[in-house]
Amino acid sequence: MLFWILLAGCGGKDPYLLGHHDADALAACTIAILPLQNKSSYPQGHEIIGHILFNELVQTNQYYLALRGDVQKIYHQLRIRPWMTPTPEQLRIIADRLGVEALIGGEVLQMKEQVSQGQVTTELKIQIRVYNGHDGTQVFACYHARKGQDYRKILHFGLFNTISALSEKVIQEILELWKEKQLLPCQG
Amino acid sequence: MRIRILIHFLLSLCVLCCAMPTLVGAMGQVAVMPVQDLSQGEYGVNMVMTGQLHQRLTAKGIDLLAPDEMMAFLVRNRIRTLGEIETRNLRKLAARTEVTYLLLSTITQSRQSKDYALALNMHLVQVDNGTTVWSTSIHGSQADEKHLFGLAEPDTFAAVENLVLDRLLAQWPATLILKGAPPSLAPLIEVAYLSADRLQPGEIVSCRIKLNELRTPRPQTKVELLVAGKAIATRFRADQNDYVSSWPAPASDGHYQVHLLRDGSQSSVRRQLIGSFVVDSKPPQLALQLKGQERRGKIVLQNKVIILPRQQNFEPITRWQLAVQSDGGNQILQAKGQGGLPERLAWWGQEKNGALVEDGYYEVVLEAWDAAGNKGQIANTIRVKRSPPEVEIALHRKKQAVEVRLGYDGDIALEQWHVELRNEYGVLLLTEGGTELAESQVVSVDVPPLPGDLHCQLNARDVVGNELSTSVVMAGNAKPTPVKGQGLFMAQGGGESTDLALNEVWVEDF
Repeated sequence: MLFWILLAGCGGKDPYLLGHHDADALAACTIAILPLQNKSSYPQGHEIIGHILFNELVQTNQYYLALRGDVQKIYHQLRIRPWMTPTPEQLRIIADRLGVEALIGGEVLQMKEQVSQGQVTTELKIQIRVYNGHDGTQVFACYHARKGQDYRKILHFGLFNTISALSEKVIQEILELWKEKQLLPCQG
Repeated sequence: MRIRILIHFLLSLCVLCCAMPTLVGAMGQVAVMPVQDLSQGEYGVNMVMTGQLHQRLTAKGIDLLAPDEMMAFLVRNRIRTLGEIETRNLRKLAARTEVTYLLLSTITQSRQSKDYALALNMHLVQVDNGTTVWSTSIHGSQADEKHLFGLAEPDTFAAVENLVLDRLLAQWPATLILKGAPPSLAPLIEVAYLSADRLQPGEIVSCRIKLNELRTPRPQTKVELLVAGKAIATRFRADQNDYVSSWPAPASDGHYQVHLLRDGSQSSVRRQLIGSFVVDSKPPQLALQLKGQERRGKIVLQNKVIILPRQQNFEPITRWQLAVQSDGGNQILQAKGQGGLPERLAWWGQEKNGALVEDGYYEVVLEAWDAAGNKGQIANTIRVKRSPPEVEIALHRKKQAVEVRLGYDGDIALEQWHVELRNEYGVLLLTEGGTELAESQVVSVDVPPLPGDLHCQLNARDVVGNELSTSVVMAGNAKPTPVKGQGLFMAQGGGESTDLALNEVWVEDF
């Protein structure tokens, strides 16, 4: 609890890298997105973020992504429940079976969308973790918290009125940071 | 020289052709998967949106696979979850149809009440190798489209739907680049399934392997497994097109990895980790804490006993069972469950049918099984005592005084006792009380010789809540003699016995 309170204190407008130092970069061109965990009360919050993350990674035109169905199949064969975090050994097996260099998992910590008096308030807190496919260790994690209000320019302009639009923006900001810091470069 | 240059040029051209993606001028045939709708749950499907997508894409001139053919394909291949299409399914689609791309769409948001909103997530997958070649996320909402004077604002959900579909068509790629997937992305192993992940020494482990036919021609491929440094042969089943094997788990506890060896070679190049299992012969270490009044090392039931099952080692528990047994071994009550141990349980001293159990000693037995099937067991004893405290009372008349003799030697301490002596007119002659009572305690009061009866009232409660309320009447000059136990008090006087009026009540506190 204390960890999250402290972490929330760090939540500025930029994504927050956890345990990152310069050596923590992983060269990868092939990626698999693992089922995310939903710790928020928003129904299917993990699925929404999972789909958007998949799309945004495809749009970078840098990475080959393993199909979600192939990932699910291996989860099933290894008896890993979608809400469980695989062990490093299981991560290694998943990466090896899919032929990917990096695995991306994470948690949706908070996802809110409230409509009242003609105004939509949206809020999202997520943590994205990147694992090395060769040994199953976590390379870095990224925490990001944003509200639709953060993007207000003037009056209602700039506001994010749907949780999916805010999610897309949040993911874009995370990928932007990765790109800027060269955390997941495809050197192929 | 020229020939060498020509060969170099041709080789370079080949390398470039293989490495670079191929640009296709016109898009090939597209199959549209039914639209997954997350607003209807994980397995939601929106056939209305699927139909609209079909209509719009056809109108745009995209060559689409007929919806009936697509549905037949899904049914034939038992594809029930829309977001989880596998490379294997794509290969089948490629083999049986002219389809080049598969369009996977998901509605990530659908707000059909005031302030309508819709978000659609789409990606196109190249069916020959499972590479995603294009993706987009489109969203629209009434709040996003606020204009001056409310002009052209979508005011229905259908209007927002149209807006989103219009945006999709505007973003639809005119041309697509056919990508060559890296060879590693085509899975070598279709299925690698171990029968158990935790088991006892000597139990049989079985494994089923199915290889990707495109990457490993069968049945020439020799497949072996490597477990604890030993190679284990597999058997090819032509009808199932898979390899199976089974072997007894090693005798010593530990974590064992299973590697696949293709062509029987143990070189690291062809060795692939496919899973692992744990051999475990140790039962779960359990503790059973009972919370209640403790007397001489045993917990005594006071209304209820709180049972706290605990696990002392860290390993997953798959099921548990807790039973209450009588001294004779008869099962009084049973509770069981799947998964981890319960946080706490309470026993109210009742049987299954709600009847109160008799006084005596009862054993609480906790059993728990780990994932390997090892059983751990622990028991603890509970004493049930609901009878009132056995306090002796005797009245002795002396010349100028009356003595009240009290005695208690029960093993459950008294919490409180109180005695009152009144004459036949109800005048209080003596009142005494306390928290502790010795084995023989005398309280006395000076009373002038009166011919009338004396009434003595005793109330006592032990620490587990059992209460005694008894009254003794001593007729003039009579001398009562106590009889240990409840129910019978005899009075003796001057060598002649006379019955004493006796009124004894005990109350249980449940």
